Amino acid sequence: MAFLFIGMTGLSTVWSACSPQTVRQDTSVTVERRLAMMGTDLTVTVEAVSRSAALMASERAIRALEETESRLSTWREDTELARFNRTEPGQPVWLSPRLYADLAAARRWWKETDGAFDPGIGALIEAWGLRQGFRVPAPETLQKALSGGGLGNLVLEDRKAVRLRETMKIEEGGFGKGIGLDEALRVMAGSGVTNGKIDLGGQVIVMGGKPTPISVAHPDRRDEPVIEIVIDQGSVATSGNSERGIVIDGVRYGHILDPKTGSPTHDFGSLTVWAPDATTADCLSTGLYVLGPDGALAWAAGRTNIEVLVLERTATGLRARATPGWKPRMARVAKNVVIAFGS
Amino acid sequence: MRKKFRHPVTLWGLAAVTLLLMAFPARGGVLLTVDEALRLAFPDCQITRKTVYLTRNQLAQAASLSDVETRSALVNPYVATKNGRIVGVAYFDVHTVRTLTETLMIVIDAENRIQRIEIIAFHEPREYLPRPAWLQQFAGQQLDDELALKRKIRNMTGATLTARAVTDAIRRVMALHLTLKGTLIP
Repeated sequence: MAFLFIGMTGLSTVWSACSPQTVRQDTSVTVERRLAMMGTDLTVTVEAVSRSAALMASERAIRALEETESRLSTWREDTELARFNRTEPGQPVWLSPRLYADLAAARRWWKETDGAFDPGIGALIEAWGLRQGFRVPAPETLQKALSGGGLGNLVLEDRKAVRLRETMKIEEGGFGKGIGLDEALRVMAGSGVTNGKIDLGGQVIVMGGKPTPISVAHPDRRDEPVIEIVIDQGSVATSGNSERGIVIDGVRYGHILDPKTGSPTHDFGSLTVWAPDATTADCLSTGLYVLGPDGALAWAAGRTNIEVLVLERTATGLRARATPGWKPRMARVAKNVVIAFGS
Repeated sequence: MRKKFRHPVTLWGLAAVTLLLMAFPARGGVLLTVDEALRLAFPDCQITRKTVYLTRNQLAQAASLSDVETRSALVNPYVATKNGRIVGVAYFDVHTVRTLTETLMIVIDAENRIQRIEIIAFHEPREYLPRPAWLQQFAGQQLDDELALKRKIRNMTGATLTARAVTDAIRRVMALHLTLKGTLIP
């Protein structure tokens, strides 16, 4: 009898193995995957008509992100973008249709933000040593990195691109995740997928129309949610210095650089953007952070389909300012936050 | 020594899944089965599950390479091949994070670099999961003295136990792979 009981327990253990983390709601099944990807961690949640459909859809999304990384990462030497950054200045080179489209999308938001979003500042990132930790560059080093950098020195025409100056190096940090998420969602759609959510290091994209709560963290403590927003489509991206800020000789520096001055921007807190697609949300969260709280809200005031939330540190806590479109889908979850809607 | 791993259920596959799950407490946290994780990582590949008993010398070599205890002389690498060429080798490492277990699938490519790290089971509360901008530090890395906490690998603020468990698991797996590599070619 005892043996039978142990046997049944073993069987139930195996049975539970056959439906890991599976939530059955009517006829849909939810699968969650967690991996390391694009310099951060990735969670893919897929709801589909069957577990096999959900697994296949999640894998397609993961492969799309891997493909984006192998095209855009400048942490590796062998990607198309890294190779482009090493091309001879002034020499036109053919780009793959994908990379050409990626750079065209980035350039669109560079123009729309009047250069506040500028991924062509790879030389500045090197000068500040942002990938190795942080260092304050000598003035002449900074000047050299600043002059000739930026997307103003990139020509895109007829599937070809030209770097006009050696210091024009493209850094994918401000747009690569967004492009990867859009592609991941595109390949995941269909195939019996009813709802999907992809979280790539805090930038989230959702599909399917299911209300999805997303926490916005305290600018200094990423584990402390202060505001919750609910979205049923599109993408949310947040920029801020969080744990990446550094204090040198009593001065606090952030890692987001102002492309016009070449120096770190004022570290006011964090800025969150919702947009219908992840590339837009990614580019704008960086670009509008550079504009600062007032500039960002003024920029967004005249736009449709873009929502902005600014979190600023105050003496007593946090002040949240948000575009009016957030109003029905935003709630405070921390006591010391005051929310105001409108610019 | 060598057994074919067939989809979907073989005695070996069932045993692997059962053993894996017997190590877990009753509560949830299993994201993928071994079979699912392998099929997704290596589509259209032949996957061969190997059972290797490390010799004393191999154990010593793995320990020396990793600086991490190799707990068992029994290792089960899953070798994926396509058209006769190795695509990658997957290892499943079950380890304790705080008091509960986590299972990682670590895939190493033909150049001995980390190709994929996937959490297939995690039983601690979610705040102990590896955090953003941390796990990927391992991607593309090869095993050397610098692949360690406070060297190439930054610690995770507030989650030292998770960081230690994952770093140790990856060092252990890479050391085992380098030790066994010559014996894994089908």
